[in-house]
Amino acid sequence: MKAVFRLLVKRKGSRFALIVIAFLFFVAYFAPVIAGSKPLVASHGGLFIPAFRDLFPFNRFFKPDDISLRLQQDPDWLRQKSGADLPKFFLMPPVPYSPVETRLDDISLPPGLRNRHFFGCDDNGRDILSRLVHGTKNSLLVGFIAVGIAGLLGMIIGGVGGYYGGLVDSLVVSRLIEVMLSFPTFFLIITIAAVIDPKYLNIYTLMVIIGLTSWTSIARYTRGEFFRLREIDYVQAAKVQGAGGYHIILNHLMPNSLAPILVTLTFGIGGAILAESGLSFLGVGVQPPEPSWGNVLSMVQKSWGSWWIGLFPGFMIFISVLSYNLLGDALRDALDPKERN
Amino acid sequence: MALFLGKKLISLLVTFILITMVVFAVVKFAPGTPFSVFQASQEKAVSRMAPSDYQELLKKYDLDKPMLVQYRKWLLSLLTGSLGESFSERRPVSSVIGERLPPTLFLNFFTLFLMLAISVPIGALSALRKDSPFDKVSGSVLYGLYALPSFWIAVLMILFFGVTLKVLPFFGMHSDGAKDFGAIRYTLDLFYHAFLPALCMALGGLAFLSRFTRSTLLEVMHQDYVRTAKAKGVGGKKLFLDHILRSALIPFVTLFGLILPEMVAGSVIIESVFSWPGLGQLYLKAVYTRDYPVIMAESVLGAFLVLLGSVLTDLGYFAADPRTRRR
Repeated sequence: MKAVFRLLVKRKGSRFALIVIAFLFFVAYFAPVIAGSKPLVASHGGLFIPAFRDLFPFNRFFKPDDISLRLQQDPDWLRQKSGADLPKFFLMPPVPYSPVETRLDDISLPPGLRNRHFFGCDDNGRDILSRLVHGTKNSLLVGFIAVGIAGLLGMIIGGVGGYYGGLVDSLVVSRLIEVMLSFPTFFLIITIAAVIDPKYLNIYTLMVIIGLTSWTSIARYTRGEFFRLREIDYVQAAKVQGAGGYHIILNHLMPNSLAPILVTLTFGIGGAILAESGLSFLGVGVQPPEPSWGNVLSMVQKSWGSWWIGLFPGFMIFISVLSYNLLGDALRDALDPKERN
Repeated sequence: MALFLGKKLISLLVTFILITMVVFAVVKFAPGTPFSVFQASQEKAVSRMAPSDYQELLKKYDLDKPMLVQYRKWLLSLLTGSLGESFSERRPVSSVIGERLPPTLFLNFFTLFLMLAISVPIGALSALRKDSPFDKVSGSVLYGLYALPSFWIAVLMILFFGVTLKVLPFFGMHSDGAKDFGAIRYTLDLFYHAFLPALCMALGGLAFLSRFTRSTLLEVMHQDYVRTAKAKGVGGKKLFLDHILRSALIPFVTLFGLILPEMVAGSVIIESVFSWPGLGQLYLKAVYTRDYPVIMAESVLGAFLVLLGSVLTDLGYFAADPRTRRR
């Protein structure tokens, strides 16, 4: 494990990929602090208000501060206490705009440093960078969970076919894989996404749809590996000793076929991110105002004059898919014993 | 060979029936009917549509019958070549699809041509000059292309060539008043409009095809018979064209089976971005309006094309590679 990681860090491409992926995780987690229209900290009437605590998922580990509690009960309390409307001091996030609020004054503004619309605005007056920052979480979540679902399904289906072989494999598993392969995957995803009521079309249903339709390559790898491994002596030995199918699959076949599956899963994350953004681009994915890289990019089709809407979101998709591809390639080489020395 | 083909055909038939079941299930088990979407999107229409009219509509399109009856009826009509009537356009699906098929075929063949015209030379050159700067640079560029989403390429191309430089059109198939053009000008206009969408679609497959060309060429170049030919004094162009390229092209036959589904799916996005009036755009439209007969017909057509691709691939192998015939 350690050796594999060392190899990944040593190789230029995968080091770049790891840095990009770590950065994206950082952005996804700290999105509320990076972009938002509410101050992070403020000092008002002699009180220090750590408002960012409310923005965070880890907030539940802290006790809510007294001021927030007090303000929830009596919104005017602070104003009465200090006699001023605005706090004396407040610190805004680096991108001081909310991802969903529309501002009429900012419609189709080009990127600018002075007004802090670093990536410009769309034709609803929403800040592009803020939407991208908040969309990062959606893209990563869809990528990882969809691949998790696909991986689980693929390993189970492929594993059953590969271990039992015979009629189970040729009648059920192989047919199932072949049928799924005969559909262009993206076609099927669009169809399923489109027959679902738009009300329920959110990142969670997208994860399930993408997961349910993209397990085939993992199933094929698992099936192939199991076919190969089950004839090998130590598995035969376990069988002779009376080990059951469940035991052999979990303890002998699965751990030994994990390497190629892991590589396929890594590529799968990039594929799932691509699928999600493609769906959102077509309008059958994440529904605005909820941000996603794909639906931010699709806004360019309504205003071709705004190049900034076309450039930045696509770059985010590109760079993350590229990173997972690089990581997958490096992982394949690192896990291959022949390449290790 | 006959036995192999027979087995293959039977398994394809089973797969095809299963595919029709999946298509039917996905479309039918989704909540709502086409008319309920209509109701939801136009609240006023609901109040105006009497329940009896609604029932009559369901009855007219057989939506009130049990699932199995509906499936059997659909499958039988599918086998006789009738695809039903489109809900939204109120004419036979076959005529709707027939209208959309030529633009899609045209775009896909143009794409295929561009793809081969660009990728084979790149692949060949980087195989011949392995590890040269050209090989390394083209390798990295192609690797990047592989991760490039087709819709982003399309957006960038439109922004650069269409909006900034204003040299290429990016909307529809024809210029205004194209009907009055002469045959030559009409055709040129068509290619002019198809250039950007076809290029965007081609770029996606480019990386794969170039690397494929490179690796098959490298493999062939190290075969014994090539060395023999070299030893006998065959050199230069003749060696490359007659001995290397010819046998390196055999695996290309298999590629069509792989590329076909990709192209069918890829055209949905590209056609919608470029407003190209083909099957992809029709599919998306059908999906938005829940035009069941069109969705089902196109899904089955897509899957059928994929299966056809796989049969043609096998046949192509038999034709191109004598070694397979002995099996």
